[in-house]
Amino acid sequence: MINQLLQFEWRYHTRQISFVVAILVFGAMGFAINGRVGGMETSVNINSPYSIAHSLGLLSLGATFILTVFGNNAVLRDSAFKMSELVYATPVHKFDLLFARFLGLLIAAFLAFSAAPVGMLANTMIPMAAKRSIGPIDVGSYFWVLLVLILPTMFFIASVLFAVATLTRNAVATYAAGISIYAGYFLSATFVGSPMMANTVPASPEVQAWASLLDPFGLSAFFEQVKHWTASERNTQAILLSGAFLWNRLLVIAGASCILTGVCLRFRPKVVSDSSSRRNKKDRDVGKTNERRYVPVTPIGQAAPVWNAYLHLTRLEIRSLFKSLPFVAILVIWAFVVGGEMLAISYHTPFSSPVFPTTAALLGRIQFDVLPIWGILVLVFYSGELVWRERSLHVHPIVDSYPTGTIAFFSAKLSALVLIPTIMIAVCITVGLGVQLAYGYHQFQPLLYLSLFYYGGVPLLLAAVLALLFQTLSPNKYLGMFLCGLFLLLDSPLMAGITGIEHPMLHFSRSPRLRYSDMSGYGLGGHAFNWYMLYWGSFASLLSIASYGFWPRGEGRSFRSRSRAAVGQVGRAGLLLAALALLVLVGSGGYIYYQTNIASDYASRSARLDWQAEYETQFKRYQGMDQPTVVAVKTEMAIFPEERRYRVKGEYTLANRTSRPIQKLLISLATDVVQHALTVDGADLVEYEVEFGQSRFKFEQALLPGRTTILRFDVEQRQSGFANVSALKTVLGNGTFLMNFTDMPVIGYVPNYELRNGRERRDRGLPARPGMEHLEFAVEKTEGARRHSFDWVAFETLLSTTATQTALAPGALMEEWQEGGRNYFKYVAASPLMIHQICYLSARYHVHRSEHNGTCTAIYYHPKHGVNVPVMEQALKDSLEYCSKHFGAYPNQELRLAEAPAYTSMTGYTVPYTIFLGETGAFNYDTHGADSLVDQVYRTTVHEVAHQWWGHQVYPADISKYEGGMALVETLARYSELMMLENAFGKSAVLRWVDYERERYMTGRADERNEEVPLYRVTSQQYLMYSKGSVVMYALKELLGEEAINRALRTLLQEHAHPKEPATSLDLVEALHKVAPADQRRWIDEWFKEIVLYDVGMGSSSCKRLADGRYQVDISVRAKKHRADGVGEEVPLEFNQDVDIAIFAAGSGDKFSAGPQGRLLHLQPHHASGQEAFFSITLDKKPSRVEIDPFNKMIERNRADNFVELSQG
Amino acid sequence: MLKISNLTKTYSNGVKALDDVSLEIGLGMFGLLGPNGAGKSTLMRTIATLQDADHGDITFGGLNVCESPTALRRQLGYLPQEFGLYPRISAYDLLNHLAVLKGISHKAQRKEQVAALLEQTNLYDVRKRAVSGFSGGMKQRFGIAQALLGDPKLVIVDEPTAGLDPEERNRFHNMLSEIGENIVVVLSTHIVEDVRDLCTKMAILGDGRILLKGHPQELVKRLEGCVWSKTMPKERIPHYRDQHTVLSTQLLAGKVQVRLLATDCPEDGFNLEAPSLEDVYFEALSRLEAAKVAL
Ligand SMILES: Nc1ncnc2c1ncn2[C@@H]1O[C@H](COP(=O)(O)OP(=O)(O)OP(=O)(O)O)[C@@H](O)[C@H]1O
Ligand SMILES: [Mg+2]
Repeated sequence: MINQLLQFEWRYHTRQISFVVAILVFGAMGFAINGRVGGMETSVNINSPYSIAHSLGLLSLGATFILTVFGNNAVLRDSAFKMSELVYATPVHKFDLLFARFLGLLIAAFLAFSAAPVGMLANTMIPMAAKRSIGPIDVGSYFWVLLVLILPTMFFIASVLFAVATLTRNAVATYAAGISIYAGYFLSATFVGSPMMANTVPASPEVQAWASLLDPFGLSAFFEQVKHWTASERNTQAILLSGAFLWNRLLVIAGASCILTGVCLRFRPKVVSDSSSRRNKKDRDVGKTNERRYVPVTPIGQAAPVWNAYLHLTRLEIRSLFKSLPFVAILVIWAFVVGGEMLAISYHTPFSSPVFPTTAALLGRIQFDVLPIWGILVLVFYSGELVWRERSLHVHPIVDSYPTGTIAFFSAKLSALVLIPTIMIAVCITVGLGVQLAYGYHQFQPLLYLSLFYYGGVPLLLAAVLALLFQTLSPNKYLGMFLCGLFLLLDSPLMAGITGIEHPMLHFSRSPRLRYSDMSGYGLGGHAFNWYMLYWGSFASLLSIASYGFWPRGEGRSFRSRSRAAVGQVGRAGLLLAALALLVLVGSGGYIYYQTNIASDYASRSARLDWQAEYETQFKRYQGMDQPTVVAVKTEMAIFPEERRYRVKGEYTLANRTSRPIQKLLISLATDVVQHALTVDGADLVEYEVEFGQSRFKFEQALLPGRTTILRFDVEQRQSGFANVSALKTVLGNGTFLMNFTDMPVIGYVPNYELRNGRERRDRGLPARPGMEHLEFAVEKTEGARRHSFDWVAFETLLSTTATQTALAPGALMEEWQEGGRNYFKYVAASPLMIHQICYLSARYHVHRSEHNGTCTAIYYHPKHGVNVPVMEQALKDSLEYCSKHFGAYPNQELRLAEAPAYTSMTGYTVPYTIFLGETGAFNYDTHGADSLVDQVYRTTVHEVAHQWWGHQVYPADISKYEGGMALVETLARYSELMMLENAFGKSAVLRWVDYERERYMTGRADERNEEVPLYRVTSQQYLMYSKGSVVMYALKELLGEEAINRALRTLLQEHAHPKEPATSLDLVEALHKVAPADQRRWIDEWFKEIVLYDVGMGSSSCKRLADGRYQVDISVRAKKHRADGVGEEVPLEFNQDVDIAIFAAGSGDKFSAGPQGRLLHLQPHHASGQEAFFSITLDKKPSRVEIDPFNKMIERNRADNFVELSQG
Repeated sequence: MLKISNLTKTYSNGVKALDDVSLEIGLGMFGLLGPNGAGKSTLMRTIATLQDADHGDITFGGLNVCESPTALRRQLGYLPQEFGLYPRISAYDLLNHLAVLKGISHKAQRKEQVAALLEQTNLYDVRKRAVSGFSGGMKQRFGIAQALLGDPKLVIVDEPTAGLDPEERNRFHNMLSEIGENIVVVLSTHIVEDVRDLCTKMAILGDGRILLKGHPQELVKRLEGCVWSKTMPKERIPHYRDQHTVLSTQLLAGKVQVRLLATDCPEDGFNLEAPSLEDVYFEALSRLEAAKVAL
């Protein structure tokens, strides 16, 4: 019996289009995802067991969708096809029936999913893949992952959906369940800090442990298992069925079994027909005479019948929407999603930096991704439900034969559909207000909230119109949903790289980057948004006229006959309207096109890459050519915020620093600016290449060594917000940030224009860029002739802006005046700065001024963002003091701190004289949560101030030539930051912070795409310069003492500050060597120049009270030590060294002070060697906790076994 | 009034549901009789503007239905053979809603007619109940009520009595014959009595073709003297099938009563019977069968 039923199910599923579609989609997704997850360009094979598991694991989230669709097909087909009587009447045992259904569903879905590994395998085998690293093809790894990761997951999800479908017999409920599994998963993933989600808050270990156990997809446990796997482990090791992963899989299977048992018990194979419930009640009253008589009523009323019909139809649609449980469920889920997102903004954990729940922050969190994605999903689904409602309920033979105008049906459907996103937005607003109340934040901005209906609502309205058209034309509801979803996906900017549909005017309902912030409002993209909405709005009008024309009435009409009828249906008024819409479409499209392609020079991605390649081919030959150096820059920069325009006139002093006369000069200028003038004294323009903005000059008389000349330029740019929106080069009504050294002339060949991506270079026939030389070689080769990346220039500017704004530039403020309704500022830098540090800022600011030991400080902030200013001031004061005292005096008289507008996405950035902190960063951090370990405003500020020393005074040698430069910038800023944090928040807090950085280092190295390098050769790896850097510097400080380190850094600064020869990280290592006793130097080398990992843990521990009243602690330390290479291959080393052991008393005093109030009883290095070493320590006071290596001197993955709470033996 | 000429319809699956159907239907009740799959519903859906025909024309009172469907819909009342109703809405609300859709925008009039129709279809007492909870017959009555909303000049009812108990069927017949005097009513059915009781004219449809049309009584009269019957054991029937046109067989106390068509008494024991409309129907169908066998 079961066999037959199963065969029936099998035939049923495999004949569905959804089956074929699922196979195609998953095959394609497998193909596309191969080699994309887990990064790993070189070291982890794209077909390593790890990559396979990671890819399939992510795809398994999508399995929810197949299961939902198949589940609906399988379970609800009887009621949908009105067959339930038949099926349930047959004498099939209910268990057999359910079993066959479920198994059929699972097998079919699993099979469809298995297209994914096939796709992955196909991708691995195509010749293109050969460029990436591929291990031996092992089909077994795919099967293993399918078996242990995917099958249990699908079993569980299938059982949940099957239960919902069987017990509710409602398609929409099943879909809602499917969607909520998916959405709920993402939501909780965000909360538990799954590595799947970018930028998530790392959760506490307990939460993570629970997540690994309960995650139905097994991904949390998987990620936990592989968290610290190195490349070589990832290449060879299959997922282990052990630990949390094993328990998770068992739990998942057990859970699914329980659910299925429940379904079996609850399921009644009874026909749930509409009439069953009240059949026995007789509904007739014989003998009652009919009083009312039927009289025909001629249907012509006073009010316009179409309008009336529209109102009634709309009311019916809305009523049925709200009366349906699934819709309410979707709204509730939506409220949860929105709430989750919004709450996370101000969610405090020890290491997070939450911001205030301002309306801008709350809306910003959902407006640009969550709302559009959810809105479109819900719309695509409900467009199908609404358009096909009459037909699936089979009411259409009745209403379609009515004289009601089609316009009434069409408009009612459209209205109901549009109502859905409107309600979703209303939910956002309500939840937002709730979140603000919950956080005790009371600065409500009702108008900003309402603006969401426009900025978030209109694009969704457009999507609704599109979805309606798809459903009108589609012969089937699901096909319509699928096609509409597919269209919106393929047409989205996200897919532009794959589809090649790049031009912003081709992305339906989208507009260029829109963003709101308190400072700039919707300034960045608001204007473009309005035009785009007009453009897409008129397009959507055409679409809706088309849907109206094709609106299905009756049944079985061919497309031909419908299109013939469409024109008549639309009528003259409709055609007129269409013509009007077309006119607006062409008009607004023309305007947008003009702004995008003509007023700004829009280029597609490939055109841009071609441009870069072409530049390199044509101009590379000038790279070695002798060129003068810029030694002074003088500009007049006028910013016109209202017009979104700036004009900069300037002069360069060019000096011939070479030893030969210079004949020719190559000057390049950005191509998106208007070049009013570009002249060089004593030289003539020979050739001007418009396409690349290259001007070639020839000196009338060669510029002799040591001689100078003047270059003058006059450049203007007007921005529209339609194209070329760059975060660091934007003029806005309020909040202009121009880091426009790139808009100023650049002398010589510009290596920055070169294409970087290896594949793109290959495709365009360019040779691979040479890799970076090993630091030691590079240093040796250029001994005594090291250069910085950029020229050091004397700088002064006359900066002007509109009367209401303050403008800033690096330099001392010499003068400030008003003239002709504009503000003028003259800034002069006292000592040279690097040309790329030139930048301008203009906004309406409040200023908070102060003075510390002769340095004037000023904080420029948006009038509403003053909360954190006092902390910033304290941080400025503390850091000026600490750094000046320990590293050398602050070189300038002024230090400004300015709020950078949110669109720059800056957390912090520093140029001489000025620090920028982000509007959505430190200026809005909410530091009032008691959970924060350190005050993040304070931390960010001191870090940026430290860059005035590390990054400005000590600036590394050309970082494109010498590895390790960032160790001098970020690692040292981190060190200074840690020292100041220790002063402000105490040692325990900083140690926890360092421990967190250790964890980040471990995760970072595991995710390394290329090879891990030792710290002194860091280039752009944040996990090294920040995280490992923090750990190492703190350990060093514990080893050598703060004073010694500071002495070393001071020497480094004295020996390498400009204009002395720039430093490399080798100089740092050497400076540290000098202050270290000979026997400690090996640690400096181990930490900076090697990758050494430990595995240290407490073996045994006990404590007893001695006869003399003292205490004896006996512990053993187990230790292993390894050296790792770039891909993580480890070689064991002998363990033979000192280990710090700390013992603490119970109590609430300061952990690291030894006095009568403190808890520290013992802290000493003890020599240990071999696998396990035993120590016996005698103490006067009663101990409660032992820690091995409390200062992270031995970098290791797992520190949980380094501590023990003693129980008295 | 209603003129159907050369209507032909072939479905996409190749079934030829209507094959050159031409009919002229005047005021009063017109019965369309035919076995399952004959094409009745197809014809009715086409008249009700729900479907296009491949060829042929339909005019109503001079109005071309295919060209101006809305004009016809204004005068149409249609009861589909199969239909569903919205969930979670009461009978009264739904009928009221449908009345609005039909264009009855005068509130008082609408209320009155809705109430009257509910009363006439004996649904008034359950008007507050959700239609989704209605029994099959109640639903059918609701369908009838909606077909009569407004002031239909052409009422098309597809198997209206399906699922009605005898009492309700009676009530419906009375109602229909009352309103059917001044308008065109087309009624499709495979129940011969419906046509006999109600219709002044009829047609028999089989395999998409009109097999017979005329007044029921006249058609019956044509068979006078040709219908014979006899009760016999089952095994003997094939014997007669070969030689005569067997109209119907009916089980009667374990034996079978056979009615067949013959100009003379076919055999001893046969009785001459008065022809009925049913005989007319079966005679038409058997001719269709015979034609098929001949092909
Ligand atoms: N939508 C359709 N697609 C394909 N074939 C159809 C469709 N509707 C009806 N048919 C076929 O057309 C023929 C006529 O069907 P129709 O429903 O008109 O018959 P009917 O006379 O109303 O039968 P019944 O008495 O069973 O209601 C049948 O063979 C049927 O299978
Ligand atoms: Mg029918």
